[in-house]
Amino acid sequence: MTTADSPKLADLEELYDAHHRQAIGLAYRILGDLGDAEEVVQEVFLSAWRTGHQYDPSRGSGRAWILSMVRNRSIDVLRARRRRPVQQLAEGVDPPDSADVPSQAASNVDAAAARDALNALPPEQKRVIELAYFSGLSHTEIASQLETPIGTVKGRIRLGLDRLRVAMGVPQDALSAS
Amino acid sequence: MPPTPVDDHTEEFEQLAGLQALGILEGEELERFEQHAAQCARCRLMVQLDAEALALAAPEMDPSPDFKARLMQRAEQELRVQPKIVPFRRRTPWQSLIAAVLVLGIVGAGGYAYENQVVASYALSGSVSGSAVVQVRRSGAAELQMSGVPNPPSGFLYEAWVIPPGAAPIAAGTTPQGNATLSLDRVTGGATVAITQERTRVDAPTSPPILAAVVQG
Repeated sequence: MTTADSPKLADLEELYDAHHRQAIGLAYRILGDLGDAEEVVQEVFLSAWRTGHQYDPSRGSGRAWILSMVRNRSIDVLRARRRRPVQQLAEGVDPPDSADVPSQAASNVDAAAARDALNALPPEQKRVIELAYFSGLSHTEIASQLETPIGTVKGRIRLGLDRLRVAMGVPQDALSAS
Repeated sequence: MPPTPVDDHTEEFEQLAGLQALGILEGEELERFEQHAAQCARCRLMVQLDAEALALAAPEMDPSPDFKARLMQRAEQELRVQPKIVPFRRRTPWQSLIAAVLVLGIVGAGGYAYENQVVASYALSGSVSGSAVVQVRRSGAAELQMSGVPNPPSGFLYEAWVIPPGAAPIAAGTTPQGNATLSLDRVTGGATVAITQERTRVDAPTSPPILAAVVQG
């Protein structure tokens, strides 16, 4: 995106070309319906386009911002399907990028490595992480769905996240490279 | 320069950062983490990196063949919308006086109620939960109603912006809470109303919007 004074179609096209396959893939992974996924992604791209051009891209990863909106909006739709109150989404907040966060590190996160890392987790750890992130379930809801003690669920999630970080090299590489 | 952890940074906060990225941090842990993360660049970055890695774990996928065309068509339509000035406060004192006399003398209290009827609502969408809606009244007055939006981290506040088409953002008020109502002026048709998270009131946004919507004419 550029920092022009007003939104231009070229800005939207640039945004779309850079991120649409990841955005559609994420929305579809959560919603399981291409029509719903496209609706969410269209709203997210338009929202980012309307306002994103006003901001300095160096302040944060545009991809992280876009995908964060796609995930949260998709979970909104998913929860609406379940007829659950939207207010419960408070647990899904992603802090916006800050000026002092080194964003270039974020843009180095590799999609293939992320998929490999998740698929390499022990099945029970992969399952709880998927239920949390892609299904928007809380600790309690995951425990109930898997008929597993909540302490076990929390333990699996933390172990899985630790393994993901090691596999991705996130803390060491990204933070030291920034 | 590497982000420097603040004094109370511990390994536990790095674990909480992962749970925050997953969207399952809640209660006391969420509050404690947000207070810490507001001062800790390392933790904020870890949330961002974890969230991005999780998002990227979903397989990439192509949309329908006509998806891009539909998206661009809708954007073109938005660009064609002509701004319509509706600000109540921009009326001249003389116009306002006439309006007041008419309202009070002819229509009375019923007219006041008529002017205050909400004629349009626009829900903001974005990266946080809760509800934020712009309500436009028949008089042209508008307000931003936030409900159930998580409070900003300690040391931050929310700032509202009105962004007329082709113009720079105009500061439209701040609130330290996720439940608030802000009066908006200078809302024109086609303008974007957005909310950012800031450390203090600023004249130009310093972070991407967390919620935004376009107010149609």
